[in-house]
Amino acid sequence: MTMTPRLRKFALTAHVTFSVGWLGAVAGFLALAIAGLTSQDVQIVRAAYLGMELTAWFVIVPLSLASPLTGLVMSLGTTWGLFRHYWVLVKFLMTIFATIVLLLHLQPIGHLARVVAETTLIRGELGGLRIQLVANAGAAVLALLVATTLSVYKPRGMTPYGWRKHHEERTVSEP
Amino acid sequence: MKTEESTPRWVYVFGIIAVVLVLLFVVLHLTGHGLGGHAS
Repeated sequence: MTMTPRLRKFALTAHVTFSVGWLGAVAGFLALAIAGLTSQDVQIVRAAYLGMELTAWFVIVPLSLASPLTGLVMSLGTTWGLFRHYWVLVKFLMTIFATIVLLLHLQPIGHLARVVAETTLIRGELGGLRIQLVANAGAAVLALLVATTLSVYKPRGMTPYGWRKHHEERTVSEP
Repeated sequence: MKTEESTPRWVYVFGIIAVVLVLLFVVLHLTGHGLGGHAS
């Protein structure tokens, strides 16, 4: 099920665009989370949390779904495979985990946005939640940087399944 | 003995870090310190 070179390039372009876009959007989300936590200006705090909800729903969620999906297409449509190389598998599991964590945290993000839309957050109010948002966005940036690094460096190492397939293909190709 | 087919060290390092982070995440949520708790 190998893709044609033209289709592979198209899928790769989509995958890189969605993945790097996801990293950039989460970095922006982190900046808003820090501004919401540290700013003394009520309007900036309000704008930050409202902006975070919009960014999460309309940018980060679509990208967090599109990136692993195009990654899956890339891995299954090329000789890399999904389970053959550790770096592909590790990267895929990392992005799936990050997406699940993001989806679980949409409700608290919405809660904060509703609070700032209706009232004025006083200093320290919902502090635990606001600190957690900064910590989680920071962790997400780190995880996505690791995923990007894995894609570029492609560290060696085939899984037992990968080796089995490798030996099978060599046996078939040898006369 | 280390062979070409043995699992690289970086995979073990990643695995250990992943297990620690997942446990941390689960423990934080179970103890009410996670985002779902709406802690103030």
